[in-house]
Amino acid sequence: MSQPLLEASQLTRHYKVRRGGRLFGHAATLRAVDGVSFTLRPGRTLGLVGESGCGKTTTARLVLGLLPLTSGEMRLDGETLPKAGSTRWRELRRTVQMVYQDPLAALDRRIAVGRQVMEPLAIHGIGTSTVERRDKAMAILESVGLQAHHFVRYPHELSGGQRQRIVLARALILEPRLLVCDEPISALDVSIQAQVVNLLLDLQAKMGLAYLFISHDLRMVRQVSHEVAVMYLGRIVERGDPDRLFSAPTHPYTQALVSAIPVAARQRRQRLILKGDPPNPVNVPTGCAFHERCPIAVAHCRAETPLLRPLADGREVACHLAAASVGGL
Amino acid sequence: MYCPAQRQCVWKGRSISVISPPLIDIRGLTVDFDAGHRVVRVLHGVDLAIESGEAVGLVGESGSGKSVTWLAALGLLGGRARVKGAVTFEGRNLVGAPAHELEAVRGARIAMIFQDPASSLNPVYRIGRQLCEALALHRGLTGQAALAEAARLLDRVGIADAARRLRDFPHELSGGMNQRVMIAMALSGQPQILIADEPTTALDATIQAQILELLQEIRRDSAMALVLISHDLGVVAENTDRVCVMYAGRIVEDAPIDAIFDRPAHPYTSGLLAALPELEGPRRRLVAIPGVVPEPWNLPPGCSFAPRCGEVTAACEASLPPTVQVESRHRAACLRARRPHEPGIGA
Repeated sequence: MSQPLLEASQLTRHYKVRRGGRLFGHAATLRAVDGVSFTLRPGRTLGLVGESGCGKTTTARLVLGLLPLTSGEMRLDGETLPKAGSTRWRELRRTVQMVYQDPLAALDRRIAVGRQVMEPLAIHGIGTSTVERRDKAMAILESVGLQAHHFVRYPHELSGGQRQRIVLARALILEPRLLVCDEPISALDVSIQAQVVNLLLDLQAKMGLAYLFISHDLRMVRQVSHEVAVMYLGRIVERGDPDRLFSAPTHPYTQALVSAIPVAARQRRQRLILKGDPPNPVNVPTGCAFHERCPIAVAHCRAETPLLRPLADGREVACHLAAASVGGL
Repeated sequence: MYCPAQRQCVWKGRSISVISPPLIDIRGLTVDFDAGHRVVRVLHGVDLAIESGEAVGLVGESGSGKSVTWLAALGLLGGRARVKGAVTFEGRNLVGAPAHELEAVRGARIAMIFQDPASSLNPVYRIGRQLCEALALHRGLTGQAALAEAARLLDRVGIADAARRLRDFPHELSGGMNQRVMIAMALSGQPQILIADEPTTALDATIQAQILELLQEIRRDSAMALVLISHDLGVVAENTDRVCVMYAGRIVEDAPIDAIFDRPAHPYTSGLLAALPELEGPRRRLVAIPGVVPEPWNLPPGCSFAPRCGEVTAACEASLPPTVQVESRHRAACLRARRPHEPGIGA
């Protein structure tokens, strides 16, 4: 096993809010991310799935240092990440780049895309002359499947898939080792999604990039990931090999999530439909956060929060009833 | 419940044991948008007939004309659109019909729900008031009768404690609940067709499953026809009997669900299927469709899909492929789709 590239341990991000949204409401804590740990190795992909509000994007922003941690620690190449904004942090931060969901919002519409791809080089003081940076940008455009004439185009002149390639090129020009992709294909049409996913896989094979791949599309996550973590209300509830996790989910929430995916092949399945909506993260139920919607919850689930614990097949699951519920339901 | 025989459709005069004329019959529907300096055609002659009780899926990429077809049919496109063709519903042509005639149909006989429920509801009115407004318009109910019916509708769409919920504002409800309110409002006119335009795209996976289940249940109970517009082939496969695949303003394939998956006749349909990852089985590299959808003002002279098609011939680029009947209820607009033993029609 290679040395871990990124080690995140007990990442936590809490927000102070006023309950009820009123000025004089009781002070309360919104636990957006509540003790998330994971390890990423070079050339590997960790898929992060879950519903909106479960803390996927907050986790991504914590990894990038765009949000300060409430508590927890992050290590890059064994080195604890220093305070955001410091010189050393900037050096380390170069190796972690981001790909956003909506490429049109991530690009500046008034600047030719070529200049936007070159900009990170100027920010980090790489390369001495414009010519040198320009050559580098041209090379990276080619590696994401664009041509030289795209350099002088503006974002509105490109299609959605081409824009996402520009966003990718801009992230890759700093030769990062980890790419955080937050819903990188959700804004694209089906026939274009496959193009971008194939490109991501090719780039990983060529450059040995690690990906933190966030998506609500379980099928795409399975396609790209070496490991998948399922989040519910700020915590990881199940983690493991994507094939096993999706074919035989253990946690009742993962089971519901997998069963909710419409399958193209028309095989009649018994669908597990959850009642209600995910609870408000300000008001997380006691014990297991999922027990109110869980079809198999027992009294114990209400009292004690289950911790992530390994199963026999190497998977990890945070459910008191996990061992008993394999293949059940 | 509907009789299976009634679901069979007449297509271009071909009689296939049909008992009644279709519920709604769209023929040669075209839409041109006047962009000021030029006129752009976005819908190129759509033919679509739907029987009562039938569930039809409309699949395609953004800009393929899925939504525009229905907005045009219901006269909702505004002054800059020029709509031609015929939309026959209950013996009347809706295209060019006067406003008062359209208003008797829109929302009442044909209801529509949209992708984002929060932007379809008025944020400053309680949902009870918004439901009662729809009931007053379509059914002439007022006062206590309207309130009671509104509560019954909310209960029907699975909202617990309906009478109290009537006093809630849209922001007090979750996205899934708001979509249920939209469905309740759509049901207020006791429609014969419900057009659901990406009804679950803005919702989470577990909530999507709830809403689709609700739509199925309502359809079973009321024999209402359902048009499900979606970009997700999986959603359509599970919830409809028949699917129409649209590309660049045309229906390129129209077939029962099983036929679409087992023997797609149009290369675009097979391309879409190959581009979808699976949830189970071995992982394979996705086969992407190369290139992009052509802009509506820059369509190729022949088949719109020709520049991206792997099986393109010179004939494809020369002229528009006619829609041919592949099987009894399966048609496709592709030169290669024609079966040798079955002479094509509609050429």
